[in-house]
Amino acid sequence: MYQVVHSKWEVIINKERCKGCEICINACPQQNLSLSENVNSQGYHYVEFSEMGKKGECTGCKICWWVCPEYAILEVRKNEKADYGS
Amino acid sequence: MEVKQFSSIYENGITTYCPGCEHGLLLKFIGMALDELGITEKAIMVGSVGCSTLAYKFLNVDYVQAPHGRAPAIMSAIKLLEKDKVVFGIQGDGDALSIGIAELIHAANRGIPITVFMYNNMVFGMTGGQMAPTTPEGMKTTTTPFGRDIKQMGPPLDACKILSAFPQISYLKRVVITPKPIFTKDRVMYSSKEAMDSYKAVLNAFKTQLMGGFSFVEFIGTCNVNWKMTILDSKKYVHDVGVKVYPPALCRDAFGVDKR
Amino acid sequence: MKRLIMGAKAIAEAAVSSGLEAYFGYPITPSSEIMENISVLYGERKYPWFKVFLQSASEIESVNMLFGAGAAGYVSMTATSGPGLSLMAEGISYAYASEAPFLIIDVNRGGPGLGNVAPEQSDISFVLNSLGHGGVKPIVLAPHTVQESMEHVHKGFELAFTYRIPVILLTDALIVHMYDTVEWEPPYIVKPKVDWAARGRNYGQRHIINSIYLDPPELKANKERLLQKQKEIEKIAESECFMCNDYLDVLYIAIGISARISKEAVLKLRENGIKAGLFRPITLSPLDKDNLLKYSSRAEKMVSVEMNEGQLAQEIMRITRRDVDVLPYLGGYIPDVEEVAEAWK
Repeated sequence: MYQVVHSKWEVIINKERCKGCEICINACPQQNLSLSENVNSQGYHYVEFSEMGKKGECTGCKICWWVCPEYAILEVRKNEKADYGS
Repeated sequence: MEVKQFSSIYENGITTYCPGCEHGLLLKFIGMALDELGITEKAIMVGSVGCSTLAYKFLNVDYVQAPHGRAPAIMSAIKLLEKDKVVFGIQGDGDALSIGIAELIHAANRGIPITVFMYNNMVFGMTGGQMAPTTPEGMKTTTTPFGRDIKQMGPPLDACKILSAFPQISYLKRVVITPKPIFTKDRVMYSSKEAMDSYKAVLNAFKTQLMGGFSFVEFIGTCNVNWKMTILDSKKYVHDVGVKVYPPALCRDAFGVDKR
Repeated sequence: MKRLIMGAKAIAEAAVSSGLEAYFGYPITPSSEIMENISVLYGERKYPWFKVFLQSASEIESVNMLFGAGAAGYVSMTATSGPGLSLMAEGISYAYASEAPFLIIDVNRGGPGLGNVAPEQSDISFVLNSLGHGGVKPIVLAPHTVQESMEHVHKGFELAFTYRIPVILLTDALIVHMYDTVEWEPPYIVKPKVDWAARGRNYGQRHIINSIYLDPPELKANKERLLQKQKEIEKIAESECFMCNDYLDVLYIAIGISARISKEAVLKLRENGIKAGLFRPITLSPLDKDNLLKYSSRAEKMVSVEMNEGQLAQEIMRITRRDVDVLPYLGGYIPDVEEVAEAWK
């Protein structure tokens, strides 16, 4: 059986603002963020969020939201798709 | 679920700064602080010449574009006439300490309750990386290709020391806004402490103005393009060299906002 | 009721009673008396609109405070002289491009450089050609009596806010220090409507007072808007032609104290049968071209009487495309009635 896992937290990104500076990618302790292959309208490779990172799921620490200089990381919030308790 | 928006930031606003520059971080914190204190509807921003002139496309508040270095004079006049509004301005280190130092000193001496944010990246950024009064000794810039010679140009200016001389300043602080890189054996991470401290400083600067005092906050940040470094190297440079010349300090807090 | 009053005091009273809300100034001889007289009126109960009086640290700080006050939509003014006006050129350029209004009184002294403090009219070229970088054309008013100076202060406030443009009142050290009889009250308090002013969003649209337009099409559009405004400002051009009824042997051209002295010379010449007249621009910018062309076409010869090397004559020559003789008074010398009368030959 295939079970879909959602992390408790998710990161909302405005990809048009991202300039691919990669500060958030380095900052994330779980390495949930990575640079996309695509470019946005400014011509930068933008950052993408994956709920399951190389070292675990997003814990909602918000470090990425604090350090993003472009306000491209809009919000780090509870994931409504997450399974609570069951 | 709707994404939380700030009324002080344009929904589709894009910052046009170089990738890796913390100026955008400063603007984000100003927008957040204005909304948190509920003062967006009565805020008036005065932009200066330099990278802060690009701020008005991002922040959705009333805006006056000042000549190079003259923002403190314009802010003082507006605040004297519109006493219940929140008047603040963003200047660079060249704007505030080179051409505008007379205006800054007189505005600080008068102590009219305005807020001055100074983004200090130790060079003139917008014009291509020339030496600024805050350039540390020996740093190479486009007008000091052999490093800053303090025998001729003197040592770098310390805004906190200069402004400490004025008794009617209420909040004088220097913070580092650059996230500190933390090197582990296989990767590099960034700390968010500097960002949180900067946000606190912005908030407290506005609170000081609301209590009737003059506030000045200096942010030490990077200019990786004009320092000719990669983004990671520029963050290291701030924490290796920058903080030695400009250590973070709370030089004055007359209303005790930092303790609350 | 007529009264005897010194120029500086009259200008100060005219300003405050017309609705001055903020004064930012720096002392410079011969304009300091205007600031001193205004400082005394601050806080008087009959002028509740006079909110701020501040002596700034330099002319640069003065003009930037005027720019701030204008950006916030308040009636503001300063008085300075030649060296101070040079320092204010950057601020005036910014205010002209951002459409922030204020009034600057230039009490012309001897120049260039440090010069002296005697009266001259040597700032005419400076204020007419471009009072700042980028092609700056503020409105320039040129009174010739103390009473007219008072009227022009009131008119200056009104024009500044009607057209959202800096206004320069070009006077000189003599008019500001002479004692003259005046009888003038402000017809109304200048209280303009300023929905464009930067006073906070107030739950509405944001207000932007700006002069940077990085893209060439945007900057072009801004300049075209300012040029269109210049065309509309042409409507307020005003001048006086003294004794210019018909064909003229000589038409004198003068402003300020030179105009007053030239009027005496014209009367003297008329007594001796010489058909002399005087064209006196009241608004130096915009210059009343229609009347100038009309009256100069009737004149055999034109002579400009000015306390400089011929700056006003240059402007008249440019408009009429005719030669204008110059009777210059340099260094602070005041025109002499006899010499002016002789100059018609």
